[in-house]
Amino acid sequence: MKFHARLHRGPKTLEQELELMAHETAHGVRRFRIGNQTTEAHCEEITPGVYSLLMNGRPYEAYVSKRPGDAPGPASPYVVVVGLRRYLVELRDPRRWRRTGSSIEAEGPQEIVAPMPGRIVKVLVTEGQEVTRDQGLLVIEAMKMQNELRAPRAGRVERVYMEEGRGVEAGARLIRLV
Amino acid sequence: MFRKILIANRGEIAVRVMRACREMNIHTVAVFSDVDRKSLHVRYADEAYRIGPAPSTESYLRIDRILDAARRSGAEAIHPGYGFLAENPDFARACEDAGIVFIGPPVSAMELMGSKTASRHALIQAGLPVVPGADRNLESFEEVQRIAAEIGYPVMVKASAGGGGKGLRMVRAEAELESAYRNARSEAQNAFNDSSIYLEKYIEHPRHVEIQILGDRHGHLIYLGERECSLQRRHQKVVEECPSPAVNDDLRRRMGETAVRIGKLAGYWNAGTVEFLLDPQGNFYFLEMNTRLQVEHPVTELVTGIDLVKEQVRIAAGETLAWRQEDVRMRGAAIECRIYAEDPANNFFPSPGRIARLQAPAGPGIRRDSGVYEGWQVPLEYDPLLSKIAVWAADRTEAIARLRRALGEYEIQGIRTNIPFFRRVLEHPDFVAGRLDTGFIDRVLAAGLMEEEPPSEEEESAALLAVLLHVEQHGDTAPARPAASNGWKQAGRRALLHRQPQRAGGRS
Repeated sequence: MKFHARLHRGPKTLEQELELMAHETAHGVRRFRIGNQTTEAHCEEITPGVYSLLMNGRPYEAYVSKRPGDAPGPASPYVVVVGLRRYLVELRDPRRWRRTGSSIEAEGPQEIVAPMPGRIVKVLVTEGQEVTRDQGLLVIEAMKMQNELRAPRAGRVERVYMEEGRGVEAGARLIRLV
Repeated sequence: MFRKILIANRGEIAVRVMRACREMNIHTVAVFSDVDRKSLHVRYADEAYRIGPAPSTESYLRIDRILDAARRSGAEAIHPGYGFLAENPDFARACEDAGIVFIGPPVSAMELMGSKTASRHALIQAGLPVVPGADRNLESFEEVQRIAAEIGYPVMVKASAGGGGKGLRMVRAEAELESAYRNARSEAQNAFNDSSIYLEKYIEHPRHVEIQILGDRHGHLIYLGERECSLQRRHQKVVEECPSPAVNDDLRRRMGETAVRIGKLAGYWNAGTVEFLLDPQGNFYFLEMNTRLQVEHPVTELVTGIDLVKEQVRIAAGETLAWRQEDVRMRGAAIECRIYAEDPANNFFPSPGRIARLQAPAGPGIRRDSGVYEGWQVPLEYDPLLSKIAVWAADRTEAIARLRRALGEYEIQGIRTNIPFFRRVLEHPDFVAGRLDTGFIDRVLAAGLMEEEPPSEEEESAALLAVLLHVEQHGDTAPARPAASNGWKQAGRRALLHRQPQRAGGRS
């Protein structure tokens, strides 16, 4: 099984070719290749989505899932949690890999949507305003808490769809960032 | 003693109260809103009644519907937990009028302590220590200005009906006073429908130390040591411990005796908490009194060995306190942290959703008070507290190590939690040394402690390998998502397989 993979952790991205050899080399031991490096690991599935891996005697427990709303299967990215860290892994069949950038990177116009139902308490930006990454855009009240939604990247606020005091559903468009 | 108690709450605290009742051989009655039908407290209770739709104003805050459920079930008493109606004197009075015992303090004490200005005023009259400031609501900006100048900057503008950090503004200099005054008033109006405010001197680098008190209806009142709750984010406690690293036997006795005097002043009975600010010189000032069980009560229980919920029930039933002050012994150290469905990597944004996987910590000295289970959907409508992990150990150093271990074992997937944040707090040298104050968490966050160390190449390989194995095992299926099959069918199949006679009457 061969794939092209992109591994994202925070702003960092790692791009590699991956191959998992079909057969065990010993009981429970699998061989796999990342780039040009071939490694072996003792692999067990603990419960669907949870894998216990022994690599050079060191144990790793990885939990593999999908982001809510993404389709099942390798076409959408996988979320992998190892200990305290989260990774996003995109897989492409090497024959169909396009070099046109990733679906995850925040490029081009971007709609900021409400992550959950709530109420807009405060709009912190105006249309036309330039914002920096992590700058607060608006304050939304949900689960009895007021929370600031921040810019995922630097850019210009093209539109503000909602005014203060409005109730919003999850997924409602709030701000368009260009 | 009561035979049946209704718990007018949800989540972990409802389960906590029911556990005490079950050990006392008292039947438990749950109430639930539409989104809580599958919640743990409903599954755990001996009886459960629907009280309305999801918004708490239509369910958990509806006095009439809760009393209806109490009458229907024949409950003789109601435990309010914390939050919702726990500090609402109208609710306590309505219970009394309906002939149902309210498990809490007398209405008069709730009313006195519910008003921050009235309680301040009463304490000042009695010569008890309060933070210097106004002893009544301030009617005009001119008055605010004058008193601020008298007590000296920095000052806090506070909502009289305040709580949870709402309607609270710190003012460093007179130039900032007017806008802080207006903002605090409008926030208080929105949050509590009451815009009255007052002023207090701002104590620099204070600790938040509170005293647990317990009293019966026959005039006995004792204190059960302190809890250090200085670790707060946005004025919400997140880590609590007992004993406080800043309190020695002498200070504990003085704070405890003051708390008992305050309780007597209010004519208090049942469990209550007197909150103090403790300044770096060891002076303490009354902050407020909470007339209910606290979220963080387990640390006191672990260190004193006294079950506060059972004592609350016994006191409400009219029993005499089984403990004298000299019987109260503190042993070892306990620390608790509150596990919330929120994402520390994204500005602590709430993270409701389905708990896809849950592995709870266990082993020596660990207590977990939880209101959740694997497969459950965390609703959006309520406070995102999932559970509390409290540990007990022989001393504080061992307790910190134990809490670190517990959090390392705690795995919650499918939603984000603040567990990674706690692991970092517990490693902080100031926390380890017990150098705490209420600004600690903000400083830690500002210093970027949330930056994580880069992973090893091997861990990245493990992440990639796990995905490959997953695709190989499950291809296009997505086993980590909720099962699409019908739960009724499965239950039917199980019933056919086992063909065991159903036990009548549930759990008792």
